[in-house]
Amino acid sequence: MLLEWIVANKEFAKIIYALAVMFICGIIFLRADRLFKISDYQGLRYFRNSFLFYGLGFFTQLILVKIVDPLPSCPGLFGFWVGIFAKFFLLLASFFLLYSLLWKKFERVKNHHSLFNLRMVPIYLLSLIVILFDLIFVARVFELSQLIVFFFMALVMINTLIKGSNSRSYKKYFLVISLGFIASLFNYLTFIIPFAGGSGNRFYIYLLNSAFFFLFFYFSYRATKK
Amino acid sequence: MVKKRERLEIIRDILIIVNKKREIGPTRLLHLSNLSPQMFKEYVVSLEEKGFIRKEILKNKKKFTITGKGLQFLEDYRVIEKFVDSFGL
Repeated sequence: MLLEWIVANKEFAKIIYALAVMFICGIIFLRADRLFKISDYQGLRYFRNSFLFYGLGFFTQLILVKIVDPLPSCPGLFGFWVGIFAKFFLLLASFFLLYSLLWKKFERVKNHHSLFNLRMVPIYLLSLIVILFDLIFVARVFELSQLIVFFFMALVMINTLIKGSNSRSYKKYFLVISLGFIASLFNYLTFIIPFAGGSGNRFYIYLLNSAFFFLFFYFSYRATKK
Repeated sequence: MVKKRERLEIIRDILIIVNKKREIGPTRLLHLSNLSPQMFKEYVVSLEEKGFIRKEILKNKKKFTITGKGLQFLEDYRVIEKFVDSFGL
């Protein structure tokens, strides 16, 4: 019944979904930002940036494109560019999340800016290249790159888990990242397998993504509870 | 092998020492914080800049005391540590 309602009110459901994800991203961003301001700990900064870009990505992809169209004379043009920016933001978000797990291996000296410093150049460049490839070849390079980034995140976490230097909550976080990997895998498959991208399958992907963000929200709430 | 202390742990350790001693001179703090003089200077400057400790001149001697913000950090440290640990940061 819920599925029928969602299929019938697809656009409205997408807006609700985007608002919920943006709310979650906003809360996580603010919590991580508060802790960063107290501690000046770089890892919190990259984690915070990730949710800034997830929030921006969902805003541009599902909200901005629906509320304004400054180019009514060229239908679709604004949506096209907004779509590119949304993909760029979402990719940056995943890269920042990956970097939040790896930054200690690369940084010994504190950077004064977490968004614009030389170490971030490869992240921006790689995101731009992926978006360009996605645009030129229309080969779902964006979806594939999301899948690869989550795969790397899972690998990094497995490596840490094998070394044994982790807590119970880190193991739970590994499950969240695995869920993100599964969601991106299904997402990619619905695009490359013919006739797999129907409303029903897309619904389950939205559901997996919602679970991914909700679990992030839940764990950040648990971690910041005094 | 002894595990290298993380930045956050060092900050916590310095603040705990300053809080425990109420007021402490730089030489004694350097000794108790178990840091190299260069690292010690870096951390003390950073803690002063962040307003966690204050340098005062008492009886012609430099002394460090903890501020309200420093005490707040000690209270929040457990939350920060839990968050960093949970998300592998």
